Amino acid sequence: MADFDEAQVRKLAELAHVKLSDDESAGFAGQLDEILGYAERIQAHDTDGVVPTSHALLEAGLEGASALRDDEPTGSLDREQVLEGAPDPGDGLFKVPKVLP
Amino acid sequence: MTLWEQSATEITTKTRRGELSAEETTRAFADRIEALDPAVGAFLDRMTEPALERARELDALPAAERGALHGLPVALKDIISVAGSRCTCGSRILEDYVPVYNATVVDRLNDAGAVILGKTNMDEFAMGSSTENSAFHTTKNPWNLNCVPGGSSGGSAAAVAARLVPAALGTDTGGSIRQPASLCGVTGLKPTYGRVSRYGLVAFASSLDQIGPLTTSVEDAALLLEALAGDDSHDATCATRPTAPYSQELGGDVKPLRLGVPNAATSEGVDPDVRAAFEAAVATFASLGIAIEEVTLPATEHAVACYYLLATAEASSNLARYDGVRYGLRVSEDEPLRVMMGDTRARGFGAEVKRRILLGTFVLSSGYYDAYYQKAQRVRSLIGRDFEKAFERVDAVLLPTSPTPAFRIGEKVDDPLSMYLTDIFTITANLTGAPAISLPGGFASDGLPIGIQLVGKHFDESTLLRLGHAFQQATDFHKKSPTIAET
Amino acid sequence: MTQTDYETVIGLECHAQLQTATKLFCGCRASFGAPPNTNICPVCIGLPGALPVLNRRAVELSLRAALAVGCRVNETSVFARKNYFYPDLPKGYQISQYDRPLAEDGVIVLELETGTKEIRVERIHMEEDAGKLLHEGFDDASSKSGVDFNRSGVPLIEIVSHPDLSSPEEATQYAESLKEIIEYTEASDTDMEKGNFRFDGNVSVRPRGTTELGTKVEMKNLNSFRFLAQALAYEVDRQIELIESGGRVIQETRLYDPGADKTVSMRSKEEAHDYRYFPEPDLPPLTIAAAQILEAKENLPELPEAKRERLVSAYGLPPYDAEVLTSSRELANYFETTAESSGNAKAASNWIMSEVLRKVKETDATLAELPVAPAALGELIQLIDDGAISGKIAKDVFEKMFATGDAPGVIVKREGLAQISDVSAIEELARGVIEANPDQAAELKAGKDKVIGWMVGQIMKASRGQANPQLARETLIRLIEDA
Repeated sequence: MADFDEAQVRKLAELAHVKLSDDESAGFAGQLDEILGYAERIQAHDTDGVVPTSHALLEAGLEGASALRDDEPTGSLDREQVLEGAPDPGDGLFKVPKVLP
Repeated sequence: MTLWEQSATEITTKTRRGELSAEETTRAFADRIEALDPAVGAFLDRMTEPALERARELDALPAAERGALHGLPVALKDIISVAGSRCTCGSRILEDYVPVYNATVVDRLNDAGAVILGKTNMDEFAMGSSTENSAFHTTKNPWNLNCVPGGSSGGSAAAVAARLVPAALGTDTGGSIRQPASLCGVTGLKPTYGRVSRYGLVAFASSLDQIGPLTTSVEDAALLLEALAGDDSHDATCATRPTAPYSQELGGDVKPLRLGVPNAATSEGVDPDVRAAFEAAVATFASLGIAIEEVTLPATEHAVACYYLLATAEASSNLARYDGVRYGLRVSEDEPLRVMMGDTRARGFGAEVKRRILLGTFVLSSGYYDAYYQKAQRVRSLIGRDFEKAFERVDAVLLPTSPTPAFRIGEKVDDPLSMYLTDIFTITANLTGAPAISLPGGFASDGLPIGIQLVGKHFDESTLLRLGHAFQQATDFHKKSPTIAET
Repeated sequence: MTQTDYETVIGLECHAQLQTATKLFCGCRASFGAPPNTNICPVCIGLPGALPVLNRRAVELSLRAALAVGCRVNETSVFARKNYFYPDLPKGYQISQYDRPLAEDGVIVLELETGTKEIRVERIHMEEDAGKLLHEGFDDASSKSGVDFNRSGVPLIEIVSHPDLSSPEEATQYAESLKEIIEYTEASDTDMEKGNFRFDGNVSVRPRGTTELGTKVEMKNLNSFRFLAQALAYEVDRQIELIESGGRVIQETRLYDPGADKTVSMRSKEEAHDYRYFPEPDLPPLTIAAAQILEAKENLPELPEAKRERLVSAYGLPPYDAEVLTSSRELANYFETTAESSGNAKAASNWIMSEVLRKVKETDATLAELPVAPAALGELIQLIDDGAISGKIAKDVFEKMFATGDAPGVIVKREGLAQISDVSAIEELARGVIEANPDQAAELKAGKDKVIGWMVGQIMKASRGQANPQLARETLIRLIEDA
């Protein structure tokens, strides 16, 4: 099993794009270690040959094939209305800090 | 009987007939919110003025055009999108986010003639069991203001318990409708996964989330489900099969039905008062002529572990879109992109959300996926099999809803695992996708409500509601309201 | 060791945009060139609560492409989330297919000088495109970038080859073949200039005779066949030189800079990637019934190779002509229509390969945009074959058809260009020439045949080129002899 130390937490935080303070990293490390320790109990289960469930009703055979959509335009949102809610709108675009091309 | 004591069914029936005006009803409940909510804290946003305007429009409708929820004030958990109204999800990161489109359930409520009166408080992004994880304020349990209302739909449950609205919508990913319903003494229904569209419901864990009603009776839950249920071309996971006239099927005979009681239902960690209420409920069902059978659900002991691995994995992905680019909070905007994103998410998310994002990121990360995520998916299949096997013999399974009545505010905030374990009886229905309902089932010695829970077969909400209704015909727990409601 | 002591190993990944009206998971238009952020909706800009619903047409087109490259189509394929952060990725994940793709195990046969070679196609999967980051064209471009989500959610298929390609030339030929096949299926318009058909390459080298693969370098966004060939060639040389000078190839992503004709490392921008793929819970697995696969297989259009063979056998064209005419399905169709309406396949082929393709090149138009429809060209060829106009006049008529869009018959009539084959009219012209040139007429009568060509030329001139030259010659000789 994976031990949750602060370094591990910092690596995950990096991957998840969440900046953590040192105190937070330490606190989460302890809590996640405890939670994961509890979750370890699922390892005791024999799941050989058991198909993983990602869509409960499908795997239970209760819902059928994928619902598909016809290839017909249904209209788009008003750009100005959407940009109104953006943190930094301008020139019809969602502006972000400069990204190197 | 004063207005607030009446059920949703009574109110909408009378309004449709013209015996009540939608405007008067709306104003009466808006006044109650005004007077009582400062103490309860159920609401994040009130929508009084647009609601009154809407009510007047409804009053002007000819009788033939009046819908099944005509003139019924409802509140929505603040995770359901209403175009033009703020939708915070209880989070700083969406504090100022205003949706530009309606959730499908909102369209359905509007089509049926309901009046949306406000948005209710919740644990941030529905992650929590006490509503203490709201970024904005703590909602109090109307039965005891020092206790939590449960969560994550704590605002909706408290609003219905204090009779601030006759009905509200919540969402349930691991028990978030049923557990607060239990702790607040109201009826809470989680429909079968896929029975109600999720379009416009801000996702927590997409394979588990489901919208459902919180009401004061099973009859009202059936009324709302009828308006909400059904296929939706915007949600590929929504079920295509037809819905049933739930409210008309309530009176059906329950005698031929069989109820399963798990042998370990009231084992370790269950409060003695909850155990007593549960046993009394078994006796009540037996007295109605329903056969009680013992069932075993061995894999369910791992449900909490399984749930927290899967739900956090999905959440870590679902919450990636809050990056400060298109909507919502942005901080450090003059810093480089990565810093802007990292700081925005650091400032915008609360501790529980961060904790779950980290856990979910871990579960999916390279080297751990098979051992955690996929293993949990396999255990999920086993839990499903347990229920399938049980349902070969019985029509529904009876369980406690929560192992304890409402706990005190602050009691579990520093102990996430103990908070997670309060979901132990509700989580299985989410993992299997089955419908489940929490019913008021008694009171603890200190007067706090206790819920019992029925879990049904997939898409058989009818039987579930029929059983629940029969129970409520035989008991009066659901008719009790907290003292604060009477002030 | 020298260059020739190394073996090159190349695998190509191709992204082809599917020709649908709308995006992969929402009803926004998938069209190119709209003003920024005008084809957006809750789904494709990742608004909270929005859900994807799969485009049926995109599935049909992907299926067709998969079958055309001989893939086995999986009856159940699964969409997955590929998680990473980037401002042009609105949900923080891309919906793609991962461990259960749409189709697997195809093959493309290349005709090499050394014989045929099979290049294995590992997989074809469906995925959505990201938005587009803009870095210039606005006032604060020095401090900011802008995101346009019009392209976000546009449907793509990714076609991944095995590392079976052993030179940049082979890779380019594979790329061209693939483009031809996909274009034939009409799954994609394969327009490389619009970025609707683009390649990434994985390149490694190893000492000849060894079997262990060298460290591979990923080359991004090879957007034309020329760049593809240049970039791969450059990269192969770079790796060999590196190894020869005692260095070591490191696994990285490099970008080709066509201006400088070299590849540059993108390492500085790389982060530790861990895409955390997992099945997309918002989309049920995609199931395609065996019957649908069979039906699609039966309805598959004729592919380039089969078409080439048929043009040779059914129309009697030389293989070279067939090769040129099947370079696109549109051109082959143009040829077939022309051949049918003219009844003269070889003439149709000649006209198309010379005049029509010249016009396409000069005007930078597509065949469909040309003012000369294939049926009209057929009519023109028929006019020549019927002797109604001369081959020389026909060239002028073609130009006029091109300029006006009118039918050849109309132009010939309007401009009086029909060949004069009326004996009395030609006699009249010949008499005029004889009278006007008594000296030459006398020479001819005296048996000096040399002037006959000049005198026929005079008749042609007087008729503005419309006289039937054979008839003019015969008539002239008869009149001189009779005189």
